Amino acid sequence: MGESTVRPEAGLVDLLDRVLDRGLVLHADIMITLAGIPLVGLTLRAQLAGIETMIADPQMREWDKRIRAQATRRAEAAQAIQAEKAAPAAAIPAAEPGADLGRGEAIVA
Amino acid sequence: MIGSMRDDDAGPDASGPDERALPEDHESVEAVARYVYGIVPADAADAVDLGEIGLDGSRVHLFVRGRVGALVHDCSAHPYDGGEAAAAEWVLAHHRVLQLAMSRWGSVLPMTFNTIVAPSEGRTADENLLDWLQTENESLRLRVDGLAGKAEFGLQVSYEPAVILRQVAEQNPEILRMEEEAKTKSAGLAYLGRQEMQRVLRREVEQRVRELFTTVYERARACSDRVNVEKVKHDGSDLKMVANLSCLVALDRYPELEALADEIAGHEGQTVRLVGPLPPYSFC
Repeated sequence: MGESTVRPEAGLVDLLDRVLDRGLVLHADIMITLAGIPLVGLTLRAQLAGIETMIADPQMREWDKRIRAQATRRAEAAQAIQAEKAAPAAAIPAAEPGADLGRGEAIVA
Repeated sequence: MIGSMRDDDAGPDASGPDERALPEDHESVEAVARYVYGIVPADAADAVDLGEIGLDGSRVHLFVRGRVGALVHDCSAHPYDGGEAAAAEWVLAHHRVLQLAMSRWGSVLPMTFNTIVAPSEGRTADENLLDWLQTENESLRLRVDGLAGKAEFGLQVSYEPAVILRQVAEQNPEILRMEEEAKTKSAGLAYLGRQEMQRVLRREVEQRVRELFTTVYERARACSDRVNVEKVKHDGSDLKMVANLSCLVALDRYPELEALADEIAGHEGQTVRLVGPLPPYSFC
């Protein structure tokens, strides 16, 4: 027989991805979900996951390049939407200048 | 009027993560912004104070507009940023608030960590937040109602490579035959035979692992509303993870998921980790 099922309390290991990388994100006045890492989430995450080391790997560099390109496109699209709004409102997730940007596709709700 | 942090961050003190956003800054500097934990269904327009359960013990309260409410605490217009220990505490606190919300309101839409609504161009953070809640009222209510009675579960299945290898070696007729043949051959041919045997063994193990994933995924899907396949992780142990799933499950169907987990774990060399119920982080 194998080991019995482990049913631990949810710990940090279960929550890091979920709390930092998922959930609803406010962005201007559109609501989006991110399959990947949101702006500040990644900044915080980078310190936790040693992502700089990972990015030393050629594959990770390619991944990094890709997510940055995606994020740039997303930011440009958001700016275009904002520019069209006569009365823009509200909120975005907290972000730092020059912060690493998210991976994954944004899905407009 | 966008509540962006970018302008705020462009100051000279934004040089490095270690020097900024110390936890105490969030409440003591100027609590002009609102950290949003999640959205709950709220029909009554009453303010609810959940007490000091938020990040760094901040007081969490409910902002109601229309048919939804946002769980928030007051903070400075600055993202939370810090070292591992602080971040771990924040992540756990964020989660605790959402767990409480889920049990109290029956459903919650979790926000991503560090979602902070800021003041902008003469408008307060509260005004910005209320505007957003107003604009998205129906959409948010539909989403949060759609998650009522459901929760997220994490299901991770791992295997012990040595055990699976042994099982395949002991049970696969092709390998048993090759082993027998190697005994009767010269050293050179036996070597080549063993090479071939290793190749077949690897192929069979890979096949076994693929089948295990498919079984886990299909069975989990059968008792879940939705299933996300997450990246497998390696914890440094001898175990190899074959499936890392996030499942959105109606609470009355949880026993089925639990039974599946027990069944998988009942096989030698397989280990299952089942975590939940969690707020539906992966399904909002």
